[in-house]
Parts: sequence; C-alpha cells; structure tokens
Amino acid sequence: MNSFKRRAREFALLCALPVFAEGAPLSGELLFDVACRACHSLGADHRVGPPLGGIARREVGSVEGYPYSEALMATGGNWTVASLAAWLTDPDRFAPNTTMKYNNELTATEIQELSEWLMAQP
Amino acid sequence: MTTPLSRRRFLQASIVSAIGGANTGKAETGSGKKILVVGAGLAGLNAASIMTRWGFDVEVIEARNRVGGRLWTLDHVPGNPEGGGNVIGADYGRTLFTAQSLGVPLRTPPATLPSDYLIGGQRILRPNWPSAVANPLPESWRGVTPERLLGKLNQNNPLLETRRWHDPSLMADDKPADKGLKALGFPEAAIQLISANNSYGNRLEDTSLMALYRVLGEFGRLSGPALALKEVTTGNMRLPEAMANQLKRPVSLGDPVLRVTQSASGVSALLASGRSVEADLAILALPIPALKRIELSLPEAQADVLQHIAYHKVVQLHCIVEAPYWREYGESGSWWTDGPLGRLFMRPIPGDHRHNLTVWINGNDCDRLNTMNEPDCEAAITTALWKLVPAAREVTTVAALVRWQPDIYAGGSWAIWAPGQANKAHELARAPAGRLFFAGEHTAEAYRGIEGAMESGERVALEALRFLS
Repeated sequence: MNSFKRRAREFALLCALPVFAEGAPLSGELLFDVACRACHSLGADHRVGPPLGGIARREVGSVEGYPYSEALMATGGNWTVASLAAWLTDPDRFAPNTTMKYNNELTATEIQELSEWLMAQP
Repeated sequence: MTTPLSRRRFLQASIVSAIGGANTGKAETGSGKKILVVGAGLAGLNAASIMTRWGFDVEVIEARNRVGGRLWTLDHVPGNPEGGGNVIGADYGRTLFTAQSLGVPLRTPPATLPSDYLIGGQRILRPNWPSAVANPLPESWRGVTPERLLGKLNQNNPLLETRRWHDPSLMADDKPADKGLKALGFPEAAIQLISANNSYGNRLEDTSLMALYRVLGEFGRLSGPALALKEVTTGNMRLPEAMANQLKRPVSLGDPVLRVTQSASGVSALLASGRSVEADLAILALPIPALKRIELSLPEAQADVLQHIAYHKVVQLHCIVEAPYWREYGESGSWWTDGPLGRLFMRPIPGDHRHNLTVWINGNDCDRLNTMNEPDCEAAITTALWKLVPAAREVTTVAALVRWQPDIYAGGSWAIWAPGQANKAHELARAPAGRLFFAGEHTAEAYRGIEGAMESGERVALEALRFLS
C-alpha cells in the first residue's frame, strides 16, 4: 500500500522494446482545436483571448475591443508565420508580461504547422 | 465559429499508421484507438473529451461513486457550498469555454462577507485593524490586513516577467518561505501571520518561496475586471458531470484501479471488481496520493519524486446560519484568526435569508482533527467556534465536515512544493513512462486549481496524440 513497485530494470527493458515509430506531425487543425480554441475563436466572438480568424491580414493587437496587454501592443507590425511562431514558442520573450498564459510546450514542428495553419484561416 | 474538424482526415493520416506499427494481435485494443483514462476529475475528463473528439475510443475509470474528483459540490447542503474547487478565474479560458459549450450556466459568486480578526486571542474589528493594540505589525505595515500581507511579494516578483517558475536559474534562489520573506524585509510578525493561514504549504518552513511567487504572480498579472471570479450557478460539480455525459462511453464509477501493467503493445488495468481493461495507452489523471495506491512500474527517479511531493491539508466545517447575528455586534460576518480555527467565511445564499458559513482550517492545524472520528472532529471545531462567536450557537446548524487528507482518493486538497523541489520534481512527475501518461493539477504549468487540471488534461492529450501519430 502507498508505494510504487520500483521495478526499474523491468521498466528499462520495456522501454527498449519497439513501440510506434515516430509518425506524422500533428496537424495545425488538430493543434488549434486542442491547444487554442478554448481561448480563441476563428469567428468574431471574444473568448478569454481575441479571435484569430484573418490574423494574416492584421496588425499585432488590432482586434477592436479586445484588452491586449501593453506588452503585446508594443511589438507592432503585422503577423507573419515567423512572428506567430516566435510568439507561440516563447510568449514571455516575445512580449514580456503578456497576459497570454500558454505553457503547454509544443514542438518546433508543431508550432510551424500551427502558425502556417492559423495564417491560412480566412 | 470554428470550422468543422476534419476528423476523418486526421484518423486516416495518423491512426491508420499506428495500426501498422502496433501489431498487438488484439483487434479491440491494437487499433491505436483505445485510450484508458484513470480518474474522472477535470484533468481526466478534459483529456477524455479531446481524445473522444478526435475519434478515439476512450474508457474512463473512476474509483469514487461520482465524477469530479476534487470538485465536490455539497448538494445536500442549502446553498450548494463547494467542498472542493471553488474558484473559476476570469482568465480560466478552458474552464469557461467548456462550461459555455456544454450549456453549464455560470454566475458571479455572491460576495463573501468581509473579515474581522482574532489575533493572539484578541478580537479586532476590521475598521480598527490599523490602530488596534493587538495588531502585531510594525508601524509601516500596520495598515495591511493579514490576508493581504502575502500580496507584498508582488513588489519584487520575478514571475511577473516570466512564467517559468521552476526554471533552474530561478529555482537556484528558492528557499523556505519563512527565510525568504525575512530576507525580503518582511517583519517577523507579518511572517507569523502569513504562516497562520498559509494555503501553499503545511508549514511556512516547508513552503517554497518560488511557489508563493507563482501564486502571487498569477494575481499580479491581472487587474480590474480580470479579477472577477465565476462559479457554476448550481455548483461547480455540474461541469465535470456535463463533461462526463458527453463522452461516448459512460464513466465507470466505484471501481478503483488496482494495477496497471504495460507491454510493448499496450496497457492492461486490473480493477477492484476483477474486470480488466486493455488499451493502447493509459492516462493517469490522479492526485499523487491516489496514484500511489495503484501498482505501477515506473522509472526509479520518477517513483522517488512522487513519493516526496506533499499535499495540502484542509479541513472544512460547513454550517447553515439562520440569522445574521453579527450585525448586532457590529461585526463583519467572516473571521480571520491566527489560531486553530483558521478562517471563517460567511456567504449569503442567493434568494434565501440564510448564510453558508465555512470554517476553513488548513496546514498542520488539521493534524489533530484528522485523527478524530467525525463527531469528535465536529465537536472540536464547534467548541472553538461558539467561543469565538457565542451568538452563532443558537442560529447555526452543522451541515457537513470535509477532510481532504484522509480521503484516500485525494490525500489532500492540492500538491504543495517544498523549497527547491519543483526544480526537477515538477517535470519528472508528469514525464510519460512508456505508455503511461500523467495529468492532474499537480502537473500543470501555467495555472493551478481548476484551470490547472484542465490545462493538464490538454497537455496529456497532446502527448497521447503524438504517441499515437
């Protein structure tokens, strides 16, 4: 009771057995659904975060009526795949003291997929 | 509105490839589509919802006879007070969106009445705090009320600039909170008051200063309307219930998992009923004390870390108060004490003349209470309660006793981090081990509490999706 069975050798052996080969990267659509859509719509509605539809045509922090952090507003410019990827990779570095609280680390490949997918949304 | 999800496209692209790689010889579990989720709290249910949405066959197993875990609305008590998670922050995006999507109504909670103070046995009415003789704080601190003392940490909080609270470079400076506060210039009297009702460790000496920065940083980044809290109108437990109801398979209740084993091709769980469940992977969405009850093979470093993460002790006595006795005495209704009674939260019941009173005792003050049987525990608390507020006795009924530490499927209210511990323990506690994946508020990164549980369910779903892609 109340203790793990520490069978490290058995575990190491298990891990050495083949499981799944590394598959295709998760799609941008899936990543948006799992990691973004609770806070961001692709339409016009504001959730905890601003809507992201048409982000490719917008300046950073430009959705009317959304209370962006000063940190993000100060970055300026239009969103690009590269700037979106930089933002998603490290929000704190891109805009220190931003209000976006996303810390579930995505891989670099996933961030690229997600950024490209987001930039393609109408 | 979001665009419709191309579920089929994803399944064709990734799951089918998993079928080729699995080679389990078991058609029902070797498809790459069967997910076992252990624990029907918010973390497990969020993971289950995501995996179901993306076409997987998800089976959720729960030891208790209800879903919700440490969300536990006391439905048998007037006012439906929360025995567990009670705060939905305005920035809890996953929680708010899930509630909205499932038609679970939210409301602004009725305001808890302000506190007066019982310090060193002396009663201090709220307006008198700054000038009260019994206020132990030095001159420049006297205007700060006890519940706001910890907020002074935000004057110098490194986590207002970054959320990497267990980054090694930050954790190198972590220290016991009592020593850390002293080094920051907090007077001894302030440290003692903070220690009296510390929710982030069982003793201040065992509490990580960085963990306190984390909590305060969360509040420090919010301001104005962003601080507005929400709750589910009919009780927070309606949210996990709604999440469970939209799963394709009903959650299996009252059947604890005894053992989970894994092979190269899948996992197998043995339940207390004798039933076994086979799956491609298991998501263990449990508080660590409950996880420790399951026979598992884990890497030694991970097993060791899990042995040493403590949980917070909370005892609550929920009462119904028929009449606002405090008004006659010019009192505020709630109390903040530095004694064994902890804090008393008085909250009006909407549309009712009565109030919910919650006596909230935490940390090591719970130790003696946790050894008692229920009647003795209730008697010990009410004896101190009637001494503090004698007028309450005639109009107050005890409705429910909640003790989180003796609850074998919780082991406490939430994980607490010892000084320096989160440096390695936080990452190790959630590291996938073969086909075993871990969720629960203790594994969350950016949030704590209800949203932390939701966040962890999302993170573990991503890990599972990667594994099966």
